[in-house]
Amino acid sequence: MRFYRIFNLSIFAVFFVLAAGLPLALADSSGNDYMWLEFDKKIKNADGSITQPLFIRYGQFPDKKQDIRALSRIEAFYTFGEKNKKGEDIFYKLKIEEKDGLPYVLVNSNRENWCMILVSARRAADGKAYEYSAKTTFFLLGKNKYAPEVKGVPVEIDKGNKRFDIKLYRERVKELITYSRIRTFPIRVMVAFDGRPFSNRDINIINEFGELQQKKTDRSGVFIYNLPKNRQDFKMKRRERDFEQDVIFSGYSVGNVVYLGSCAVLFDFSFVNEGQYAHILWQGMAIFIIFVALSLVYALILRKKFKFNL
Amino acid sequence: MKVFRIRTITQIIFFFILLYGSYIGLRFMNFMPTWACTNPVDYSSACYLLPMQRFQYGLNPYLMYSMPFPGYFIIQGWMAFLIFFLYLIIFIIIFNKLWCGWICPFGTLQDGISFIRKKLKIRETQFSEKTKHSIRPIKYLLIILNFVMPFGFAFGAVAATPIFCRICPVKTLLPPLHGNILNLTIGFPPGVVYSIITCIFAAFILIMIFFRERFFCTICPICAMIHIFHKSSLLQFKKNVGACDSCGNCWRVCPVDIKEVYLEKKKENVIQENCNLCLKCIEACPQKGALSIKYFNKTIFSSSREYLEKIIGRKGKKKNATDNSPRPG
Repeated sequence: MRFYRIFNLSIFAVFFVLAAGLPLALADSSGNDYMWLEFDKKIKNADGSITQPLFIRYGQFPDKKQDIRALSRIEAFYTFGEKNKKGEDIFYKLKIEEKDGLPYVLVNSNRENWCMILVSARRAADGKAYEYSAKTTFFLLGKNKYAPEVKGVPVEIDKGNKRFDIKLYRERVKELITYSRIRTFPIRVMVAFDGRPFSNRDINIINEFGELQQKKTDRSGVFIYNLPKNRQDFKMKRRERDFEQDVIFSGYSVGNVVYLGSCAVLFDFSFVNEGQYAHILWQGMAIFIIFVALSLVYALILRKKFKFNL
Repeated sequence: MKVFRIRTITQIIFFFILLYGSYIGLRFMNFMPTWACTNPVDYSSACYLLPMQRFQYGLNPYLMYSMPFPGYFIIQGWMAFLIFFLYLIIFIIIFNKLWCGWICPFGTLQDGISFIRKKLKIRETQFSEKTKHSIRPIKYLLIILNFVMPFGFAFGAVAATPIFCRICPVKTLLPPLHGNILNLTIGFPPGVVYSIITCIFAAFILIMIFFRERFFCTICPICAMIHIFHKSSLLQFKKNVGACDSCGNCWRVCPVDIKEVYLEKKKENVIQENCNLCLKCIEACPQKGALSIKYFNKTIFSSSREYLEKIIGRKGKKKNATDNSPRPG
């Protein structure tokens, strides 16, 4: 009898240990290193332009960050969404600098621009070649309208650098993703490899707190990601930070080459609070109030004197 | 408990559930045919007119290359349309126009504005028959914007956001209750021209709602759509023509000034285009069983002198609903 009791208890104990270790077991089991971009706080310049610094990080999720110097041929590019005649994005090269011993890039915008950053790097180890790509998209809302946009010379990007493509669905649509306070609205993410949907594959998403989620892409390489509401409310109330960044990452091997792609997702809660729209909000409110007054006058003029039809 | 009181309580409960329910974990998203904009993302429900306008997503260039077979997303867009249309039919079958009068949050907001007007003792604006007839086509025009225009989008006639949502006045008037006034910004998602039109349209609608009870319901495309399919509903509004003594109370108390119920001498089914089944006419009718609301052909509420006397007794002689004077204006 005692044996069975101990046996049952041990089964429960094993279950609880396994359950407690579940998040760890869920963590990227491939043991691959990834490269990803990390947003730093935006800098508002005196001339009205805005600068977004981004660190380039490398290592294993969630916290085994490694020295990026292990990677070779690190290159960074950006685009403001302009297209060439073939309909492809026009990229410009970004200078990789160093801050606090970490490589980082700076993107500056004088106007309101949508921006995409792409970083690529390589590594060879254990007879295998590793191709890293890190991507992110965000809005840069500069207000220095009259200053010329300095962009440099457009560059051709090696197709290999773009093989892993993680796209945020509706990423270029202003509403709902970064232009208003997003709390629980789900975003659609489309993953493609070599221009084809990355169908029915496991995709990892890691948030700022090191929590990992696994999602499976559907036939079209699409999955839905929803930012947990309670966490955002908590952050909003504490006003610690006005943005949150999560990283989507996945890997795929072709022969001896391992492609490891990541995409940093920025959830910007501060858009309204920053007053980016204050100037055009006033215009709209003025029009609204004026037409409320005009409609009121119109209604009062049209209202006939009250009388009973007897 | 009196019907009007049950209705007011129901309206308030649904108003808070549909607008603020997400704070207690209630999220209906697009599955309720309500006037609730998606822009304030904390809404527990969202306007279902938005996905119904999105045929054009079938030709979304971002999705084109990942199509499993040609036309996949067009089929997906159509399926989405049919699913949302099915939701509407289900809601019509269950609620008929009770939806408009008892649940719709924008209807409740309109009733709230009218309540303020009454408290300020400002009389309601009366429309002539000519004005009423000229307003009538607007709701069908809005249906066209909602359902016919997206076909144009689907074939590349116009790109981008749904046309009706660009000018929708509700997206300007309801989200501020959620602390979101972004739809008043010029140039915010729909573009400069459309956002100016929205601001003007919303201002006009707001004033009209103030002076005329449930004004928006007279141009509401959802109300019109419900009316198109209302005969399929399990809930019906009936008139026993033989019992009616043409006192005119039903017309006098009607918030949307429907006189057809009063004038009808033949038909049993008297639900009208602008009716939102507030049931005030049944409450005000003194003739037993002259007006009734039926579910599965079973009477759930019908007019009676006893009920009316109870109301009159409560409200006092001043607002005597049995007064035979015709509707003013």
